[in-house]
Amino acid sequence: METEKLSNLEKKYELPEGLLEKIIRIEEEHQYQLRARGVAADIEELICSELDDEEPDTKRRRSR
Amino acid sequence: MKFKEMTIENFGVYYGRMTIDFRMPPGRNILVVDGNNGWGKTTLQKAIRFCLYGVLKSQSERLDYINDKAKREGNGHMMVQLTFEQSGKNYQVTRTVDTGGNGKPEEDFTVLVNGVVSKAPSSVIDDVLPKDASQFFFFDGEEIKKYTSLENPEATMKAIELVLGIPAIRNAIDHVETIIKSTKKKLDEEEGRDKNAAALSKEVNGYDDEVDRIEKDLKDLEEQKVKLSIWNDKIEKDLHENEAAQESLGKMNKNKSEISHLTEKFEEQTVLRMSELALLPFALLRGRLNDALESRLREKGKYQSRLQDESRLEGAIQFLKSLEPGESCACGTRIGAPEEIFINKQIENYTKRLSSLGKTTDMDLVGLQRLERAMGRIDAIKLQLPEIATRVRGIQGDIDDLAAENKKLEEKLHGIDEREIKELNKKRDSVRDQLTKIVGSIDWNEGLLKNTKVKRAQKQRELDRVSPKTAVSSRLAREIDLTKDVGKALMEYLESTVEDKRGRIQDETSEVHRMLTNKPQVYSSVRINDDYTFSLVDKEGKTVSNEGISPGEKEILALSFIAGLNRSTDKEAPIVMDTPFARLDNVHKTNVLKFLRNLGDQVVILSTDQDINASNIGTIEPYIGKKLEIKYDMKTKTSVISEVR
Repeated sequence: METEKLSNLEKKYELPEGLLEKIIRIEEEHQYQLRARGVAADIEELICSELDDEEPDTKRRRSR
Repeated sequence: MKFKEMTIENFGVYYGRMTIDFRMPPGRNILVVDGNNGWGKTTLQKAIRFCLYGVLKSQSERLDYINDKAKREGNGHMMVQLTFEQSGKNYQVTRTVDTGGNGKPEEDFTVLVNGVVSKAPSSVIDDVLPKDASQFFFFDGEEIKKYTSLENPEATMKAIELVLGIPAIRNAIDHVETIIKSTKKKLDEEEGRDKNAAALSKEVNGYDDEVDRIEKDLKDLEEQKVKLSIWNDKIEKDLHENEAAQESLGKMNKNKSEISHLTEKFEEQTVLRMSELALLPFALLRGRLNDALESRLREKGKYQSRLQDESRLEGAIQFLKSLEPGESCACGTRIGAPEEIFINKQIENYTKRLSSLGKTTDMDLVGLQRLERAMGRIDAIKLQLPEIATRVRGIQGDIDDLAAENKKLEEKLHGIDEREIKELNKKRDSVRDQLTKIVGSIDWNEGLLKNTKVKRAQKQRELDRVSPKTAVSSRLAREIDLTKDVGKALMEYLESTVEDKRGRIQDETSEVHRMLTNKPQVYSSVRINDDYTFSLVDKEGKTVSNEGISPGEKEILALSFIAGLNRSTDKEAPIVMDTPFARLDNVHKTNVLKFLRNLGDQVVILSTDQDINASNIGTIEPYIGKKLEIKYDMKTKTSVISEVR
């Protein structure tokens, strides 16, 4: 995993810091249980917790 | 992953229980297992794969691998136990096969991590070294040639990506898409409480899907455009080079025709020289023949003068004899006795003189005439040998110069011919056509994207009017947007990672190949394609077809690729290489031996005395940490493995 590259992509897409790395880490832990049940749920939970952490006044307008 | 020990019991040719200790002193990383063909080298590799992955799937295969002697003794138990360490953890993997009372071979698999039994043993092993990736660590020196095939099977490609850690990113992208779909469904349910809002929400989602599709199409088109542009530039470059090549071809043809003309002239001069050489002896004899002729001519003069003298004396004698006494001489003198005495005296004188002339022999006047004619012809010979030699040297020099120039031109052309140039022109036209179409498609899709976004915004406004956003729907919408951005970022990360890894493998493989090849002056690097197929590139930058290289070269190329792949991954595992030098010549063999210690932290070589022996073991001697020997008992048909160093 290339942390610097992921960090640059997070900046480019205005993503919470460290989110991509956390997602890939989850996948790596389940790498050999392809389509493992619960992996998508874990990632969704992670994304939701990042949304919860976003300050209301700094929320980005993501919808098109 | 670093092997510690392997215990095998009644596995294949190995009867009873025996343990191999893989641990070696620091600084030494090569373990050599020596054994003849059929004595159980490959069985050891099979034992590792059986233990980790249970590769004996069918019942009959499992039964086959239980040692025959053990089976005859009624022992239907077979076991392989491997201990290793990885990332500071100790693993003990045990796989057994037992034939129970019903004779069916039952398999049992246990994994202990730091002494604790794992509930998901297969996952543990997959986490350490997945089965598909293991083919790049445990392999047969000869079979690896399959990786040089021109069409890479999908399974191999997936295995390579597995070693490189790509599947985690691909799976993340798949999971993110699943999340987007399920969240959209939740949003639809939230927003679609009344029918009108539900219809509008559906339309908005439809536009969202449409936008995604167009954006994806645009991305694909842009990628195609980039690829085609690169291709176009390459063809243009080739054509530019080939313009010069065309000129060179013209010059070469002209030179060839000139060489042909000069060769004819050379042959003419050669014929001329031969005929002059045939006359050379006469020219050389000219002096002596001239002397002979002059001598003969002098003889002829003497001969003729003597003939005249003879004739004159004979005539005088005859005339004097014709004078009768009493007759008058022509001068009017009457011949009397004194005159008669005088006449007789004169006759006597003349006869004496005639006899003093000696006997005149006939001279060969015909031979003399022939000699005179020959002399005339020889005098006419004007030899030009020095001039001819100068001309021949000049022509030969011109031919050599032209041939040398053509050789240089040929080297510059690298075998390019006119057909190839025509083919390049055709390709360029085709690529340009495709580029034009793609640019048109991009313009059209960009227009479509703009319109779709406008329509979507209109529908969203309508939806907001009839169904004001609730806190839940707003939250879901934000989740979708964030997840979409995550998906885009992950896709970008995947593309860049794949490209980087491919480049890394290419560099590493090329470096290893330069160390292993027996033709370092011919090959410069190895090219790894998008689908991980690979081929050699020569010093001129031209790709060499894998079909055109020898089996030994393929083995070296594949080994370079495996080494390159292993150097490009975070996965660490021992290298277990069976029959490493099957088809290799001595140069390749020596190069591989020199490289062995760099192949991995732990390198296990399963070899015969044909592979590693007294003549070459010196190359790796300082790095051999352990040497094992397999002994086969012909009577019991079983093998024993023991440490010899």
